[in-house]
Amino acid sequence: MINFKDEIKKYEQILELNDIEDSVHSTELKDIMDMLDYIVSQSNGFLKRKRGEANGMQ
Amino acid sequence: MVCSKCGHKISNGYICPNCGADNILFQKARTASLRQYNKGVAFAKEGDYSSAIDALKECILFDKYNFVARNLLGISYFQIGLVTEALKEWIISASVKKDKNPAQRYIDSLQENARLLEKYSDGINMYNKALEQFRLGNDDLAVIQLKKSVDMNPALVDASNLLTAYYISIKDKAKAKKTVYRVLKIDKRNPKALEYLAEITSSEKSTVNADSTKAVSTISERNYGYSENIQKDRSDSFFNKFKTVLRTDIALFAAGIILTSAVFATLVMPSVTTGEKNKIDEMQKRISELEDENLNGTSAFAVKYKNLEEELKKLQEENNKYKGEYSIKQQELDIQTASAYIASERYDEAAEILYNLNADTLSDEVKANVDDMKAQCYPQAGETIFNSGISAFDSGNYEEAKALLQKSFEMAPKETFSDNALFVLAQISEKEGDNAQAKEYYSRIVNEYSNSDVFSQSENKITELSAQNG
Repeated sequence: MINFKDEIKKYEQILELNDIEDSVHSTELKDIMDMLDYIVSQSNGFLKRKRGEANGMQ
Repeated sequence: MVCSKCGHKISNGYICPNCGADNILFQKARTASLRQYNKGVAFAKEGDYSSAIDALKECILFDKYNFVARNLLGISYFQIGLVTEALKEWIISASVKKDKNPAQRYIDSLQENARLLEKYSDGINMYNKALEQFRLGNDDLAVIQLKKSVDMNPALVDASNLLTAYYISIKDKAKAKKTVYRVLKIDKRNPKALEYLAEITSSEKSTVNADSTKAVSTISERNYGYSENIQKDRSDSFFNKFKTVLRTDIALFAAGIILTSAVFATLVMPSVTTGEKNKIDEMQKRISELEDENLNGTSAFAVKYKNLEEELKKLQEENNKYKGEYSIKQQELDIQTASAYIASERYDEAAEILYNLNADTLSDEVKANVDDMKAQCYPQAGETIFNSGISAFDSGNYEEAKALLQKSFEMAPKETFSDNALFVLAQISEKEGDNAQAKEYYSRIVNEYSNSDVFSQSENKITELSAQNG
């Protein structure tokens, strides 16, 4: 038997017509490629730092 | 190789020297996006919009510029009543790809149906309010709003699902079933609806089981009154006995059916078959009788048809007779009128009536009378018509001039203007390119009107036209 109070928690408010504009503006279009891009840029920085540290030790 | 991200040409390897993007990973992401899109299309075609939405969301997660997937995502949202989500996706799609993108058409179409959009939007608003009321514990108010929401936006599956959950919680299975089936009709495999359906079905089964166990234990208690363990054994043996009795009953029932069928086949069927055969024979006999009647023309229909044909012929003859009588009466009336016109010197009107009379149907006596009348009025009327013909010729209306002059000549062939009528008719023929006809008119002038003022002109014309013909 379902618990109605718990069940209600599974439901969310639906976007209303007046809020579409704000929602569209606040939506940041991100996809896996952006994430990959981010990871690549981060790893490049990490590698550079590592290389810098390695050079300093030498 | 060209970089998928910035378009820079990569000469070696797969890492773009310009932006540093790993192109193999980018290609894989794009392939994954397309795979998810295909899944989304398949789900949407099946009417499984929830799964389509999941797949298409993943698709645009892999490639945010896949506007086709975004459009389909919008359509899927629209199908389950999430009009605002649909609009949002189409707006984003239209901004990502401005040309050759149907998203703008979808938006325009919604905006054109502003009242419908408002209704759907109100449905969503009601749903949000109902959800809030449920959270506050005002279930009655929430249900009213939820029902309104479904009325306004019938495709809004979230509202129907929430209503189902409420009905299950108050154990109103009939209503719960109704709403759950409504959702599954819109969204074939809606996960929440399927979960609720399973809940309703399992609770129904458990109710049936509980009821049967209760009945058995009641019987056991009433009849035997043994302890719990013994009761269980007893109830098992009771079931076994019940099954045996049931089997015997079924076997007897089946034997009864077979026996009845056999009796029916041996006693009743032959008489039924004989009766049917007799009926068929009678009908075939009747068909052949009707065919014979039809061929001989003695059938009721043929006789009736023949009578009707005769009646029609008689009526047609009568009709012709009346028509003839009417025509004679009309002509008599016309002649009287023409005579009256002549008496009052209205020759043109009299001539017009006499010109249109059908002389063939007139008696010799009447015909002679009509000829006298024509002799009185035709020369005058012919001149009037001649003058009208000349005016038409002068104004370049040759068709009208031709008709008038021919009529004038027909009415008055031996008047002072008759040769002139022929001369103008010849000129019209020349203008029409009918030189043979023109020559014939000129020849008539030369042959019939030796004193004509256009005699020598006609002669010259004949010579000219003959020379042209070679």
